[in-house]
Amino acid sequence: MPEIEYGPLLRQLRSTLGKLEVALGAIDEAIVWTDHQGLIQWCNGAFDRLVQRPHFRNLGEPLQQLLPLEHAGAGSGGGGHPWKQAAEGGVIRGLYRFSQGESIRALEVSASRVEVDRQASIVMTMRDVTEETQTRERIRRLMRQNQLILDSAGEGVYGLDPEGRTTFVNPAAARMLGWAVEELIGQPQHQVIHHSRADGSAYPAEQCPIYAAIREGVARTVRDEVFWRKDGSCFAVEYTSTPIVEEGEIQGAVVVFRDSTERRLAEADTARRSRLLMLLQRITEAANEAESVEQVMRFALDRICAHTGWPLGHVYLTDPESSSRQLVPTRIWNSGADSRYDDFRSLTEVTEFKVGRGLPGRVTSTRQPYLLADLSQDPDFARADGARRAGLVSAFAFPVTVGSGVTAVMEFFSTARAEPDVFLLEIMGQVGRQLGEVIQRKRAETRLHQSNRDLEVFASVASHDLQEPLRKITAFGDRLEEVSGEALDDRGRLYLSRMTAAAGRMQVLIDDLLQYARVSSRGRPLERLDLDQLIRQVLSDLETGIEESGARVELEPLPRVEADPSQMGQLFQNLIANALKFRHPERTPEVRISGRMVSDSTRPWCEITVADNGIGFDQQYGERIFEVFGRLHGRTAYPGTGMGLAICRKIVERHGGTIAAHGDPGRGARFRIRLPARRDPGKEVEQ
Amino acid sequence: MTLEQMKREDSIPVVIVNSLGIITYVNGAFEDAMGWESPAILGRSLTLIIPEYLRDAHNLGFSRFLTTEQPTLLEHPIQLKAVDRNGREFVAEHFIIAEKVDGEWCFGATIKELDGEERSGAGN
Repeated sequence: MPEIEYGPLLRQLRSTLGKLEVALGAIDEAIVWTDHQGLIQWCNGAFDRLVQRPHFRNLGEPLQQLLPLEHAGAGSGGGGHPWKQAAEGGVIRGLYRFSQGESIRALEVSASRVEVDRQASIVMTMRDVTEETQTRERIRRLMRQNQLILDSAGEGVYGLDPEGRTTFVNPAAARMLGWAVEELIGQPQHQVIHHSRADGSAYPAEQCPIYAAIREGVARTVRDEVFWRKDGSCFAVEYTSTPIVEEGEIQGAVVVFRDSTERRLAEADTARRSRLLMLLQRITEAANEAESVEQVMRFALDRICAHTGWPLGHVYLTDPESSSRQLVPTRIWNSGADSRYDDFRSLTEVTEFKVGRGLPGRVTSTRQPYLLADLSQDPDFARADGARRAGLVSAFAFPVTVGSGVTAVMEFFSTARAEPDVFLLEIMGQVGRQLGEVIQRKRAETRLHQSNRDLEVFASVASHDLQEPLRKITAFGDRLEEVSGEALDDRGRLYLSRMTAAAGRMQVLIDDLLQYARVSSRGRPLERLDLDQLIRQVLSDLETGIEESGARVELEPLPRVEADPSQMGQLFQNLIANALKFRHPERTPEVRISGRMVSDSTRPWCEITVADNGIGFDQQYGERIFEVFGRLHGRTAYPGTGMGLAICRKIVERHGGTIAAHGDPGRGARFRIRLPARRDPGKEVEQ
Repeated sequence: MTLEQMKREDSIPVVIVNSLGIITYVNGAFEDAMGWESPAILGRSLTLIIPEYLRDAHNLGFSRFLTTEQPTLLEHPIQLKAVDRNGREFVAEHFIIAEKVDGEWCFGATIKELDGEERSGAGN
């Protein structure tokens, strides 16, 4: 037998063992080998690092003291050190806590007993899973939080996989859709809840924006679609479908939706209110343009019928002659009413109501709009039979109010049952008040128009019928003086002279009255006017009077206005002549004319002020001086008819402006004129 | 300290092994302390004086050094258990050095038994 060379063999074994030791030292998992008493026979570098001791100090040490472990509730094991349990024959695999000072590590421990050379040994491996455990715990908490958020969210949330199948559904979504959560999981969501459009037509999945988010990787928000419930009904939704992208790959989508029924109803209600307000505005504007009260009424009837879709509208008027405050029917109906309502219309046109009775009477007494949802059920609706025959079911009416009174009632009829609509009635109440104001204005305009016509007639009479005898008095007076003047004694000549003087004054009075009347009737169209130039012309005309009185006139730059040049000339001539006439006997007369732009709550104005340093007046007469023949002084002291300022006011008011006087006795007077800075086309105020 | 210096030491037990872990030298102090006479122990494995439960660790560590030549225990005092010829186990302070002699690693160690007070901790 050849001699065995142990040297090389030992070296080979040492080399193998050395590599094995290096390999075991390089792995992250801690490995420890103990004998049957629990003394460490070998451990690797990961174990040394775990217990934070030098390798040689660990060898021979009792493992249970060096590495006290506490079971963390996961895996097999439970009470006691895993080494002990393994020594007793168990195979341990579990999660343990290893406390070392303030540091607590989580270890995944595996321990088992092996027999070596008929000796029991225990091998334990330990993997530090502290960070994994912490991460897992953080994820678990996060998922729990997410779950709580999803569970408590009022909005529906569901997830889709890349094929559009449901991966999760929160309780709110399931509740809104009428399905159980588990019924929806795994289902192709489009086919289950999004298969049809609101009108019932099919909704192809390839057109679905939710799926488009998955296909294209772009979030989609939709506000006007419907989802379908399990029971086959649908509800309005707004939703956002957001793609889930992980590492550049689309993994599906998350859809968040809410029931938008209430929002849409609110939007519809807002739009309806907006249309009603617009109706009110249009009726008011158009009524202002109407030429007569009847035209106002007809226009309102037509607009309200068109807006509401109600086919029939009519006006009752209060009878001012009736002591019992009767409501009388009119022939004012909406235009284009169907002939099938003719009998009802005929019936209405002969049906009067006392205040408080019937629909028009009830509206008049309460001064509030009223809706009769079912005409057949109202015992006080006198025209019920006629309405039934015409197929009319509901009615509403509102009062047209002028001041504290009701001047008319507008009533409307529908063939479909109408439910009470507070906002409609509120707006109709406003329409009634606006129409009342327009009607009041129209009536005032009519009265003013009549008054102007009367004045025009007077002017005509004055110019022809009164002036003719006056001229004769003057002419024959002159002839009498020529022919028989010498024959008259002093008393006779005095009488004659006073007669002709009186006739002359009367001629001036008639001329002034004519001028006053013609402010409205003979006015010329308004034009853009340079007031500076116009007033300089006036001052030129008054040159003699200015020179005689020695007056100083100061004219500041004035704004341009739209006005009748002739009447503006008249206005400023009267005001400047007034200032010269009522000059202070002890002072050089001074007249200052200035202008500026001002604005109030209604519009911008050109304000022109004519101020003097004359005798002034007591402010209590600030209005009286504008009255026709209004005089503050005797004719002897200051000649004139008292018509000058009345004409001034009429001219200013014809231009839509105002004039006011401010007096300070013994110090002077100030006249402030305001003319509209911009005029509505074609607008001119009738005076 | 060198192997030569260790060989001159006579008050502390000294043992020298070759790269195979075979004892090549012990001094008189070793013989006195461990109960082995030179002829009986020279040429035998160092594991004779290592408790049985540490022999695997010793073999692995020894082999690792030869493979990597990266020391972990050398040239600073360490406390390790040893066993004498009678099987008595005791804690001793070891100071181990390594030197290459003729291209082969040789290891020398002093083994100084510690009493209870000198030990840095029971069993350590």
